[in-house]
Amino acid sequence: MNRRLIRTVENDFPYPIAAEFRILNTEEYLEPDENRLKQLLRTVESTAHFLSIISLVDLTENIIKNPELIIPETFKKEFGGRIVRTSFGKWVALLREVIKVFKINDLTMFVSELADYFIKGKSSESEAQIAFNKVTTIRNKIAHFDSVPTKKDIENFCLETEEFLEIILGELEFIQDYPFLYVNNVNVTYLKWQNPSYVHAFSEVIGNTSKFRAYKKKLKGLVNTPAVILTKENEENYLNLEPFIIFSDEGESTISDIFLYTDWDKTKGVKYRPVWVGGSYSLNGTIFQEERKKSIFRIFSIFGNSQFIDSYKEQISIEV
Amino acid sequence: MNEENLHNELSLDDLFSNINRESKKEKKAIVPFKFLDSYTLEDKDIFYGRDDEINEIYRKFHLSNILLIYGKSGTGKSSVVNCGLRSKIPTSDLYPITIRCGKEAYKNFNAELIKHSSVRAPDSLSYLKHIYETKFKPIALIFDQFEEVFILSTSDERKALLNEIKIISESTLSVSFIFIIREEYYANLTEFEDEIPSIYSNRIRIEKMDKNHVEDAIYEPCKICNVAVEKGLSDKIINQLTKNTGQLELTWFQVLMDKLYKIAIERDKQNPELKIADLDKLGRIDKVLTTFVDDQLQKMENGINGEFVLKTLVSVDGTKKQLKIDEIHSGLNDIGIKISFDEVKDIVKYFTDVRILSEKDENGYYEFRHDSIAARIFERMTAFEKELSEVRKFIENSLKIFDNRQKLLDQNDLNYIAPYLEKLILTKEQKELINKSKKQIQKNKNRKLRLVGFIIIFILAVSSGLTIWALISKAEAENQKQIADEQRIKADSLYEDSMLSNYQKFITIGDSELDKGEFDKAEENYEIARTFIDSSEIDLRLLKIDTIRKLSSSVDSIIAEAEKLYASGQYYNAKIKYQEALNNDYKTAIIENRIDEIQGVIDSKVNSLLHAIQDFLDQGYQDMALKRISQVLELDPDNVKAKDYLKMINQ
Repeated sequence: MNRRLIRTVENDFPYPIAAEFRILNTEEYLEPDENRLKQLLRTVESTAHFLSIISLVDLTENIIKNPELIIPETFKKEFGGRIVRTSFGKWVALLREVIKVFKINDLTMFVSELADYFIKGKSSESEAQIAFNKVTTIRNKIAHFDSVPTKKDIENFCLETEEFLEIILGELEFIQDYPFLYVNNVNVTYLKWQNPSYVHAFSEVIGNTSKFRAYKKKLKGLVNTPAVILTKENEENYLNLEPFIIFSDEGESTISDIFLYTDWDKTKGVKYRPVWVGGSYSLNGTIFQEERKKSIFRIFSIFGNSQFIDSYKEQISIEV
Repeated sequence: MNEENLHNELSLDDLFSNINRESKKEKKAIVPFKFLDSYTLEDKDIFYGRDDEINEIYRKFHLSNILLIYGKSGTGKSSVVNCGLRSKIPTSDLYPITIRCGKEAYKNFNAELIKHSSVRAPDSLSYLKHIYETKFKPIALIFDQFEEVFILSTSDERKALLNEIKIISESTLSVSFIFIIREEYYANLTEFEDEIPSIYSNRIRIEKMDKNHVEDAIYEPCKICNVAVEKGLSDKIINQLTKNTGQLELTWFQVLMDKLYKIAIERDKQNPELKIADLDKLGRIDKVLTTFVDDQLQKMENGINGEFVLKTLVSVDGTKKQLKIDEIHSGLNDIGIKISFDEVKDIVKYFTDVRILSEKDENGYYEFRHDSIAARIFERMTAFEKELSEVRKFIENSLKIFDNRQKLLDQNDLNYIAPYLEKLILTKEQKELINKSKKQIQKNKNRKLRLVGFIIIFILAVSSGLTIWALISKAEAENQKQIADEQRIKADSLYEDSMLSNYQKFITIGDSELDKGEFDKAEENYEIARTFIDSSEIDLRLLKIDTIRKLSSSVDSIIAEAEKLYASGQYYNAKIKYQEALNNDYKTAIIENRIDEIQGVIDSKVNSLLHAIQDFLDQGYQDMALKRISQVLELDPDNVKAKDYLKMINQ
């Protein structure tokens, strides 16, 4: 893989992608074996997951602003199945369908390059989409192998997957223009006869280390907080990725980390996966449990069909 | 991918676990039971019956960066961590480093870190940073059999290790610590508590496997390895192994299952089956381990030597020790057991083959497969052997202390080791230490004696001085006393004289006043005299005064009568009255004077009358003479001349 791309991804890509990618380039994972293959697939999966969430949240914001937007029935029909018990394939599918909705409605995405990243023109597959699909194929091959893959098989899979990963990440370099931040808190200064000013504490959730660079900035307006956001040009122009991407120290490990939504199990609650720390995370028992559940339900309500919505309405009404 | 496939999509973990399972099946038939070896990650397919503990450890592992796991020997602590916990955490999420502290805790810790790093670093934290940067995973430092730090390592090694742990735990590096320690050494960790206050905060006690899980531990591994289990066997095993306590003695279980498996394999390698009849033949299960060790010793050509070798591998606490062949050989020499180096090698190989000892590690160390075997060997040691072992260890430790701090043995230490010195073969350094210690003690003794002697002399000198001084003082005091006594006597005498003198003075005055008839003044003076000497004389005098007072009035009345008589011319009667008063012994002088006066008057009158009588007689005036004679006889009845004249006349 191109060394420059490696450095760029490790240091300047959003943390959920960079952290997984960094593992790939550690000594233990250099050999083209099962470990490397698994990590390659995991990196692709994390990328799809991350991009899919960005798109979905972006679409949600647009629909809230403009309820007249067209959501295809097929989208609503499939949404319920895709947004729970999520998997690589579901995220890729969701990403594709969400971008299609943007295209149908001729809307510009918050990450304006993202639409064409995945779908060229109206509906053609982009290089990135092809790469994602190829990786899906590889996955299927592994799942349905007639016998145990040989060392050579694994090696070939590694090479192929790496090739596609390079395309996926290479095409994604524009993402560096959209700083991925965590807003921790805001201090308000509101003097007499003055306009209030808001000093925000931001952490750059970028690169492969969980020790995020932090800085403070005074803004005229108030940014959602706490929140994980994607910004464009300046911090006041942002896309709040809650409730699907959150920052929390309430996971099983009680170590602060970024968590990505994976499922809403009706018996076990809303589940997330950590980017790094390991261990499971559930909204149950967390501080913002109710708020985030309501937010997720709202998104479900926007995109799901009535049957799906009703099944989760019970979840909210029991707990509210 | 169509929607149906999306819903059936496997996770990556499931995808790859399938691959691994398949490939493992092809590799070789796994053995279902591991004798006394602890389970590692490779054994996760045959590790059953500990799900509760694994889940709890997994949960606690994420609570804090320090986790303490403790329990009795043989409860499976190492297996639960090295196999159970590690198989639950994805390999991409954790980089575990297992450390055995052994004899040199700090050194072994660093050595283990160096193995995982490809660069040189100045300290353990730097090594860990490098490991983290290359592996890019949180690191877990698993200190297995951590009690060795207290059994085998020196205090300095422990301190150095503790310091490193403290530095690492306080750094921002993503490093977790798992301490696996035998319960008996749980309290020893307080030594670490000052530097690592949270060492006890996140802990879990591993207990013996509950009998409810034993069935899984029997059946599931057998299923994986295509070994049949006769119906009813598991119940029988469970009943026998847990009948007294309700809990399973894991070491017995592992040895037993391994034995049953071996019997099954010997009988039919292709279709092995664990049978009840085999279990019955084995007899008492709790004796299986002891019997196993005995059997192996009996099978040896020279079981006695074999036992000696095994005993060198037992610590003074009855736990296992890690030794190299040459250390075993020298250990035997130290206690006077002569076994050649080659024979020791052969014996060790034999024990390794029969799985009493583990294979030597990369540093050439051997040890018992399990502490329970060490415990069995320890039981076979005589009390003397145990003591000898303790003494040898004591001498070794003392030598280390001497090398570090120049501290010699004291008399108590020498007394302790004295009975065993003959039996021990000491190194040159150990002998030097003992000799030096003895010399030093002797030096100290001599110094003490000199000091004592000096003190005695000093005390004697001081005592003598004090005695002399005391004697002088005593003589002086006695002299002074004598003088004082004399003075006192003198003073007393003077005092007495003074008192007497004063007494007499006032008595005299009082008498004088009494004589004067001044009774009151006399009394006063007598009372003053009493203040000097309280004498009975004073009482008598006062009594006299009383009497005289009483007399005085009667004497005064007599005198008054006497004066009346005198005044009436009855001189002779007045004189008699005064003489009557004189009997009272009061106013004697006055009365006597008055009597004399009256006598004088009487005499004068008598004389005149006698002249007159003569005259009358001469004149013949007898009547006149008679009258005068009667007057004379009135005045002086006993007057002879008058009586003669009367006679004359009468004639």
